[in-house]
Amino acid sequence: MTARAALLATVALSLGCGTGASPGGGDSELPVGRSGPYRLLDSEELPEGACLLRDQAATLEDPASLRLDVHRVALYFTRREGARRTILRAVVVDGRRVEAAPAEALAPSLGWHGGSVGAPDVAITRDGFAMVYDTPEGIGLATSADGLAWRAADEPMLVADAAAGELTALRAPTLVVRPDGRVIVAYESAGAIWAATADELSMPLRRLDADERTPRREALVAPGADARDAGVVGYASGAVGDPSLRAEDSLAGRTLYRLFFSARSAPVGIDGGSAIERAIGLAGSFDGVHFARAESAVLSGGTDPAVRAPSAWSDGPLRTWLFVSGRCDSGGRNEGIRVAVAPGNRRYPRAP
Amino acid sequence: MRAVPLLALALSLAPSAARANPLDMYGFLSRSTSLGGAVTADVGDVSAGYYNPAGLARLRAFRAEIGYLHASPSLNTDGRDNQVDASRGFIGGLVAPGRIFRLPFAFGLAVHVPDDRLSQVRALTQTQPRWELYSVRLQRLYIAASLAISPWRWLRLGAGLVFMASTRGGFDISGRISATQPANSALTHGVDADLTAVRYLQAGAQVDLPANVTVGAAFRDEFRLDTQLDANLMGQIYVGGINDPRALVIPGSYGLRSRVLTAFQPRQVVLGAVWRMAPNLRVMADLMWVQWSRYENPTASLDVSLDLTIPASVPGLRQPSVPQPAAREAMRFHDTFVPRVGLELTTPIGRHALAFRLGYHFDPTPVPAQPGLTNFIDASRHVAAFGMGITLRRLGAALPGTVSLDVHAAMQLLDSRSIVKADPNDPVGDYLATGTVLNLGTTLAVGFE
Repeated sequence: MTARAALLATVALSLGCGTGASPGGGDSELPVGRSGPYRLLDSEELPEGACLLRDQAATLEDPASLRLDVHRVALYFTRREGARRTILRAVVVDGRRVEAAPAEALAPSLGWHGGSVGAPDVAITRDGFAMVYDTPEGIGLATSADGLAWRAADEPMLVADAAAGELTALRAPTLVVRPDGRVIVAYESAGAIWAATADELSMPLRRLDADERTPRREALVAPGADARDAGVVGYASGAVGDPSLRAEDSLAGRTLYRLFFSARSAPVGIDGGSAIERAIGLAGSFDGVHFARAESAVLSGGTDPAVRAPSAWSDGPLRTWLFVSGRCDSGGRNEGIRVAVAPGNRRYPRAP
Repeated sequence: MRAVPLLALALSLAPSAARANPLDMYGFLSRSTSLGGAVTADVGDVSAGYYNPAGLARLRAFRAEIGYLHASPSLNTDGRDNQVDASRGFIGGLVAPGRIFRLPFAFGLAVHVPDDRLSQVRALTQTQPRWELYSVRLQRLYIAASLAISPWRWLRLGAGLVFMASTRGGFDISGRISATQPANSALTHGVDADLTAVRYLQAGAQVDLPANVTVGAAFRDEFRLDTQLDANLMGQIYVGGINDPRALVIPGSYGLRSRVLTAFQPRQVVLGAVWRMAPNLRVMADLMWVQWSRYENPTASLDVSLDLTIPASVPGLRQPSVPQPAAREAMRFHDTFVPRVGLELTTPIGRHALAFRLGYHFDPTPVPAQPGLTNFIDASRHVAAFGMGITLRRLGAALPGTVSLDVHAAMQLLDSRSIVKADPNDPVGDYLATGTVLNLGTTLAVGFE
């Protein structure tokens, strides 16, 4: 190779490399904690108004999501018509479109159901699927091989115990089944969120105490008497409920428990009124027992004062959908299942 | 508004948002890079302008080198490529030796010119995850001018200055703003941008010892660049028409002062040795101390002031509050020691020569755990390098000296690093960071006799 040839080769190689410019910046697909804030999708983004699921003759509420695949999620929810409540199942695609008409998953069939089953949550188990739900008598358990047909257990799996701080009926249970079979059931009672656990789903639940240093049992998440922002009472100062618990095993090697919940502020009496703020809150924990509440709500009730009962589903590492109960019309005459999304800085075209 | 393009121009002329420089990360010229950078005691070409200016005094004839560097990062969090910018550009320089007071003397110039953009400034919030030692840090114009002298045959001394540019600028807007008729506002503005040079010192020495051993030392001083932007708005706010004598007039001023640490190079001290085991085989090693502990939080600090003179005739109107500057977390980077080793085997082919080179260095990360708000991502690096070079001698009357063509390939392997957060509600959460960087380059050198 002569010097001239070597020079030409180097120049050619250099020019070739130099034209390979590419955009970058290092901020693509960065990790996000999925802690919001969330934005409610509106009627211009959903096929049928502000609600993803609605029923003119009944109230649809308390959604619970179960991942089917990367695009599809099964949504279990309550249909309430008068005093009767049943549990329905629908499949939602891409967070915004219902694949088929909802079908009944579980109806009150046992005496202790009291004619009302609702507020379900579903988890995958070694044997199939498990559903927890509430009744006037307590929390029930149902099992299924396919997630479609369910068989309810003959007895409630947990009933309220006033001595354990559960001064009102247990409602809105949520279920987590860990890979080792351990079960955590969180639920609402007396305006707070409690939990019980068992080594196996078939074993009796034992109640968890979030702070064993105190003589009485402490809730996982309790309403806080916190005054923030120059005297304005915090978003979860009145009551918390409708828990939705999920466990995520991060690639960093830890399990993070995320607990979405409904929050209600204490009435504000400054103006003599009773303005109550409703919102969706989030609490996190690394052990499933000791939870820390996020400083601010992840979804405020500013656009929908009836927003409650969250259930989250992530269809990728960077986006999370949050199904909630809410108003389908501005007057609140009809309530159904709404959907919010984080990050909320993008608007979505209406799904066909 | 002419101020905007002018300001953009001023910012575009700013030095890159480098936290160090591409040469620290990827090396300079192919031979030295393929030897793992362990050349403090051995360097004797244009790359001495970066590694050890004393090595310039090895040369007895004019030498010019030009090449190209392309480093392609594939840096991931939770298995997803974060699309960190490649670093690429032309590298080269020259060495002009001579004699001063009968002593061998050399002047060297070393240059790295990025071919994508000469500079880039990014101001991110401290919570935003970023690959702190990569990304825009490695897009930077680098120019070093050095002098070396050899007072005795066994001693070479050198020193030089590395040049950078810093930008300070601001803009002023003054006039009258109509709150009710914005189109009738009358404003004048001015932009003041100032480019100032920043220099830092580098120096080194090489000492030849018996038994074919040479030791060397090099020092590169710390430098930092702040980009400062001041904005001042002064005037009157008219509630009503500007020419309406009944309009409410509120004089006031608004000031915004932004400062961003856009570049930082830690102070470095390197000790090295080379052993020429045989005429065609040499091994070398370096140990470098890097003073990362003086690194400051590079996120922008903003000071905002608002001063309105509200007439007493409007008792219900109050001056709005301005946001308080966010507290910036301390960086707590720690100093590191970087070991480097290299090996070179030369095979003669007639009057020409072929060289094979291997190198390795371990670069421990200076970034501490990130349990809080900050998300400065980095991990310790293992860097393995390989290179070849051919040197052609006496190619003709026009080139009585040497022509060398060297190539190198170096692979950085970043350890997997788990970033775990103290707060389970952290807006970013736990994640796993890892990655690789492939560094390819070539150098053409022409030496005269």
